[in-house]
Amino acid sequence: MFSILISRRVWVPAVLTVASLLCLMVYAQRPEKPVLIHYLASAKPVHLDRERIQTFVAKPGPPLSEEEATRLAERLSSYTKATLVRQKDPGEKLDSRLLFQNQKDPSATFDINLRTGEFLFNGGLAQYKKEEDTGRLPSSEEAARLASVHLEKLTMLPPQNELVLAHVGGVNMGLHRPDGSTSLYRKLVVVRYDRTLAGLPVLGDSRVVLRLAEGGSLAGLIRRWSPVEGRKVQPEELLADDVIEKSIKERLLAEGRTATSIVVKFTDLVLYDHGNGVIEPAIHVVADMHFEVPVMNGRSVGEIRRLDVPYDTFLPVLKNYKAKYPFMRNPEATKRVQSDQPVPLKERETPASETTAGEKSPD
Amino acid sequence: MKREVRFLKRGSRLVIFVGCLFLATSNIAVRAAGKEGGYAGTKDQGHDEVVYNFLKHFSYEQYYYARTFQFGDYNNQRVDAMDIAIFAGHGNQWFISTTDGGVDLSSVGSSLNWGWGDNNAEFVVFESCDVVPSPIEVSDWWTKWVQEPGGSFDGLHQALGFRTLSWQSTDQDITDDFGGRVRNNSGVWECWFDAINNQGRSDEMGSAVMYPPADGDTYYNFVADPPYNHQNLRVWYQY
Repeated sequence: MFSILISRRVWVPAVLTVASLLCLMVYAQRPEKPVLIHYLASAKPVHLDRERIQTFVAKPGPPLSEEEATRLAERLSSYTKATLVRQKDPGEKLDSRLLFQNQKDPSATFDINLRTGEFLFNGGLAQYKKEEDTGRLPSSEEAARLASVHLEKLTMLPPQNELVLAHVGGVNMGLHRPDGSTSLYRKLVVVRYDRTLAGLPVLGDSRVVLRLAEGGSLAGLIRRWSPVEGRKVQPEELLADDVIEKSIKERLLAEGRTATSIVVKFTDLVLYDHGNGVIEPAIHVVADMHFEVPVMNGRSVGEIRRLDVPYDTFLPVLKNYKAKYPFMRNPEATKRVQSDQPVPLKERETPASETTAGEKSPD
Repeated sequence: MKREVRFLKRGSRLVIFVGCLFLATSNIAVRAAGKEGGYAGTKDQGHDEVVYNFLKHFSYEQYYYARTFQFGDYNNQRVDAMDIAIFAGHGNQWFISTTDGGVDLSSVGSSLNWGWGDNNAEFVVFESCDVVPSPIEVSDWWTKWVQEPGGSFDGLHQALGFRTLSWQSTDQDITDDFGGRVRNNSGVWECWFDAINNQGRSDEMGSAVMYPPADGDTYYNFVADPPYNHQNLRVWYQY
């Protein structure tokens, strides 16, 4: 009897252990569940109108000289009463760009690309950091009107037939004070224009973004709007519809390999503006990918969080495309990234005391 | 001639001494170089490139696929060993998804290594959807950052991210743009918003929470670290 009990104490756990291991092995070797792709009605099958598609190339022109760029910086500074000084020794070497900054306000910037003439101007935000609303901020309608007035005055208004008012929003500041009180302050209004060409939306780089402050005055301006010339695409330059459809599916499966499901919302023909001086026809794919992620820390350990992740990408429709597409990855990025393992703490790496004023942060 | 050289040397020593005295008595810290770390939330969706496009502007220290311990129990050797750390991957409000599971950012302060900033970090950046909610999304936008225990702000200066969706067609350009501006010593949260305006879609909206005196920090010039247990927070957000 005693020997049977002992043997039970041995064989019961042994059998349970072996059974658990077998289950784990079977689970680990199960075939991966195929990802389901659902297409909403708005994601129409690709059917290119091959007689009416155009592609665009930036009009050739000489690059801006440093003097011209400096005059532009001075003009914007004078128009907005900003103070900007040419940064001749920036931390990072600039390729065909000039940078202007303000030592007293590190948010103030004028950064211009000499090759394309595209620029980002930020007149500085230091003056908007007080605990108060910015006075007389324009309404949305007024802001849109004032935006085009500013662009006209600066002779920077793009062709009206290419302009689309994309968004009127802004920038606000909120506070939570140590005594528990809170405040919200309206700071700036932002107007953004996107571009349209040949009846199609241009997605990618093209934009004009204005920041408006007190009384609608100009506080910032981004202008990326290279003049272009278009030409009709010959039908034989285009990929076949089924090839494009296949590339969409392949891309979705590649990017959503670990998703539980993918819902495709749009597969629209657009013009894609992303480098190399072209704005070319492409398919803009918009989808939702669903992932299930277990929480690994804190009070919610083990809880499964469902993430509905938006996904979008662009895929070429031209056989010989020139733009840089999101799927064209930089191999260096993947070559350099490392896998990581937790390392036990060493004494010197336990939490250090706070850095005191004037003390150099540990480097 | 020798006397002039000696005078100049004395003069330059005096300038250095006065400069050091100024820094020691002011609330400004300065560094010539910092430590940068990047953590990619997935292995097959291009988030490594999103991270790399930021890091490539520096001689960075860490570039890993993201794992939960980097943000939690071993953050003093990873995120909190850096001066600026960037994560790219999927997210939600106060939540990020790494290659071995999710991290609840409202609880990382309860980890073995506390939250971030008690060791080194000044800035943490999330190129992910929704991680930094603004007053538009939730009226209580601050508690989960600074609550004790749990909040990740334990000396951190600024946390940057999005209050809205962040799209994969633009994320690699936003981090590239941002990296160059940080390197050129622009205001950190200010150039995050500039990068979003310059590269993002019209529906991508940034959000940045910070210790108010650190509003105006650049990567190379920044105020003294906040205390680990403050409740004083500011948010800037685009809408």
